[in-house]
Amino acid sequence: MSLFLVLLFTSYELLETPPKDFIAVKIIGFKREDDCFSIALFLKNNSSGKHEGHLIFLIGYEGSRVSEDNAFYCFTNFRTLGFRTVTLNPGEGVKLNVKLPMDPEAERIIIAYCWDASEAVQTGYYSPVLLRRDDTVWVQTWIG
Amino acid sequence: MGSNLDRLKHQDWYLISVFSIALLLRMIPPLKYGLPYGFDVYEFVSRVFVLNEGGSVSMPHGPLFYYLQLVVLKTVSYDMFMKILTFVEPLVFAFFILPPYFVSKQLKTEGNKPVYTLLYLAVTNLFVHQVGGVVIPEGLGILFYGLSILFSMRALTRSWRWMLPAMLSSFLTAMSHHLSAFQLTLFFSSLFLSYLYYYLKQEKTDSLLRLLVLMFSTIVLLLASSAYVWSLAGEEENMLRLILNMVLEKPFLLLLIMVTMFLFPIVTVKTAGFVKKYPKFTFIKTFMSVLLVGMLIPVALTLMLHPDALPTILWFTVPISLGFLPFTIHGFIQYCKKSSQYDSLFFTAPLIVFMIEASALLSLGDYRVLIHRIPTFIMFFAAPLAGYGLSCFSSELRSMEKEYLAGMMIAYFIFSLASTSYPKPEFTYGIKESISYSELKLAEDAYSYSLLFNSKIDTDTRLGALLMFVSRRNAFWTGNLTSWFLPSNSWLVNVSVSGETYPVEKDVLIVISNAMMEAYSGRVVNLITKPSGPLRKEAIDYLNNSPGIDRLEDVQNGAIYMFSPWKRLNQSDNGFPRDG
Repeated sequence: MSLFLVLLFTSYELLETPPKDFIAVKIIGFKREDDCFSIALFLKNNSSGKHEGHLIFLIGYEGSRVSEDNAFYCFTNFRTLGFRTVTLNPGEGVKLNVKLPMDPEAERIIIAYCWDASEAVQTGYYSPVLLRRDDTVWVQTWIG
Repeated sequence: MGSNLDRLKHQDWYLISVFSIALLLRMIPPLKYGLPYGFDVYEFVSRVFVLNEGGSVSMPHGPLFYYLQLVVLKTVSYDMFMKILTFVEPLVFAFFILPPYFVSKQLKTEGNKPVYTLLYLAVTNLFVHQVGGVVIPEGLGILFYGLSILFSMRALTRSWRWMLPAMLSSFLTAMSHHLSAFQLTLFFSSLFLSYLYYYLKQEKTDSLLRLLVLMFSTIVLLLASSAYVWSLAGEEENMLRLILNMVLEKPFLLLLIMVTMFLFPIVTVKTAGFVKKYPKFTFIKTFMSVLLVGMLIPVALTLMLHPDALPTILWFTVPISLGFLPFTIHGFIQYCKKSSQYDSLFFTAPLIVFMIEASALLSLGDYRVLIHRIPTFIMFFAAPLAGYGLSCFSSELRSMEKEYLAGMMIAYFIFSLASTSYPKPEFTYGIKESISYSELKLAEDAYSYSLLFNSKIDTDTRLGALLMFVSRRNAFWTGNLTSWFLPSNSWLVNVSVSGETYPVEKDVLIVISNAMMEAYSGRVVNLITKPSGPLRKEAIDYLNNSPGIDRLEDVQNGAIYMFSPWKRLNQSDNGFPRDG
């Protein structure tokens, strides 16, 4: 019975294995041009499954705020500038060059890649954007 | 004849099953995470890699462990080294539990079932965690510590010639791990004093005298080799040296040691005699009293001295107090009763000296934290008694109903011992011992960014060790990698300790992971012995919202921040050297 219980424990531990898969996003280049900002991104799917998600561009104004807890990221006082659907095959890395128009009042740019963001994907959306932490990676750069 | 053969075959199967369980338990982290578990990366990066580069480095535990690693590293590539570290070493270290099993096989008392000892060695949380699950020098030290005990027992019960391999393994203990060597010195000293008293009072034989001379020589050898290891250790890195300094600083401890040396042999011999003759020991009484004492004393002491350690103490202590201690005491009593005084001294003397040691350590002010390392050694030594106690208990059951009931309870105790082998951060002061692939990626990219921006990297010891591993020690990490006693003066450490944020330096990449955050019961690890705390919500908010601090990368489990990195580049081509 001892051996059986220990085997049970071992099985439980192995079944509870945290996922080795993850998505990574990073900024690999940034340039301020005459009429726009040029951002080079690198998205990598370090998993064995295909990932389809939305790349969401958020512009933060004065008083913009990012808060986070165990479950969500909350982006307050941001405007959703646009979005793009990006599909990543297993192990695939994608380099993206993004050009965002100048906005004299903008202070920062946030680019989030989210694979469960149906509500947030609305251009011109001003309300707090709530993204599930487990389904989101994001980067930011200050322009103000 | 046939039935004896069948019994032997059955015993073999029991042994194979139990040892398979030992292997399986120790393979949980490799199978679960696929990466090294515990702080081993720190040791390898800070010591073995330096040796590999031809540099000199202090070796606080003794040189053997590091040089064994170095041989593996020289033989294979870095990546293969990581694989061996992860998958092969825990399997090898699982074999290190065997010496106490062989000690158990040496017990001459009737009814002893060594397979029970092996069962305890296979599943007890502290053994799984420290001898196998986490590949640290302690594992190698405890192997030679166990072998020394085994050989000295053979020397006492069979032939004095067994003291020669005992001397060799003692030397190897000193070369492997300082605390193992310290425990072994206490072990041999207690045996020497007790058997000397026994020789003077009861049995003046030439063989015992010869044995005593060899035992004394072993103590001298151990001290001399430990002193040699001290010379290899950095300033204030050697815990043996620290203890010695503290003893010398406190005259009452010196007095206590002198008095103990005189009284100790009398106490051990009288204790063994008393236990042998006292008729009122029963398992139920032992179980209840040990349960109370085994639970109450650690909990009360923890609440008084270190309240924040209570979750850790309860995590390990409750299963041990239920499943290990009562059977050890029962086994000890039965062994003393059923064997000669000469034989029982072998267990009585070291157990008493270990109790005195634990009490003395508790009086050593700031260094009483060392007490948490002692139980593993005591339990490793006492495992044959626990196995014997369980053997006696099971043979004392007279009815089938009692056997079933007791069987279920013992199965639960064994289960509780095994299932507490890998505590979560909430029970280990917030230290997450596993590493994830995303953290490895984070470390790699932090190094690439630091090359691009010509910047330093601020991260904790856990991720810092990984950073140094992936960068082949080339990264400019603001933490301290080679000293246990100089806390790093970095933003992450200072903020985690004080809880107050302040502006980050402009040329530093800040690398954080969920394992540092309060929200995940984590902690910024600033070397194990140094003060640090979790990264609170305010610190995360500061990084996310302070104007100018860019979030350069997110890998789900962690992120990289830096103040105005792109302005630093100040060039037209913002290429990035890795990943496109």
